[in-house]
Amino acid sequence: VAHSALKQLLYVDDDPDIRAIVRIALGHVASIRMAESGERALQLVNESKPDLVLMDVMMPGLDGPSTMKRIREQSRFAALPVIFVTAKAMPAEVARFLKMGADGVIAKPFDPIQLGANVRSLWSDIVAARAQSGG
Amino acid sequence: LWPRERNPVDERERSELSRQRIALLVPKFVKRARDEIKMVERLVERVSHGDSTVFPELRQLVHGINGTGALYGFAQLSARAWELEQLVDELIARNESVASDVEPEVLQRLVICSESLANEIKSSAGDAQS
Repeated sequence: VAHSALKQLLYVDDDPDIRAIVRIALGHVASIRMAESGERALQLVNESKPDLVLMDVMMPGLDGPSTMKRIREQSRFAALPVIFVTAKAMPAEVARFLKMGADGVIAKPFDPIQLGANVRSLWSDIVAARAQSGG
Repeated sequence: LWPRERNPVDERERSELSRQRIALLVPKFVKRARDEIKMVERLVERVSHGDSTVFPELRQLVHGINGTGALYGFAQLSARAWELEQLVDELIARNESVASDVEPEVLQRLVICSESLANEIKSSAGDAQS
């Protein structure tokens, strides 16, 4: 369930350069844990209990949608907010990700300097939507 | 939602600091891209010898160069990688069972795209050093 403050964030991406950029870009927004794969994300979700997961879609092994599904199969993470960060961000693809249950989509390439503001904005939307739906 | 009031001056300073920290990562990315384009060229060579099993690995490498290059602001490099990625995607979508089925003109496009990307990486490496 989304709480009002974003304290802990999990970022999942197989690309080490993108993880390094995101750590810089979001360091002031929340405490960040990094996972290099969907498999590692499943472990870290249980260890760090993040408020929000940001996740690449195309990863070797467990991809983004499969990882989200596996995370949410655990009852305590059934409502954990997930935002996909992907190059596949055409309107039809975004609609498909939202239908899968994603809470938002950030298009790659993103502006690292604007990423914090984008995440904050999406987080505010998520909190508002959950409050409205009683979640 | 955000306990501390954000001061515009602090935001500007933070943005500038972030830019500087990201700029420090560029040489490492350029080295990575130079290493990875050698791998790309080896994989394209294998395709030319009839090995189509390399398409997923080729796609993964080029996809990484495309996305990360764009994040660092290498627009031309990213564009060349995107072209190659699209071509590999087409080949994967055609579900080529053996690369000998790849027409010579498509193979030629693959070689040209990988050479263009290699040239762009060399050029970006020069820009990053200057």
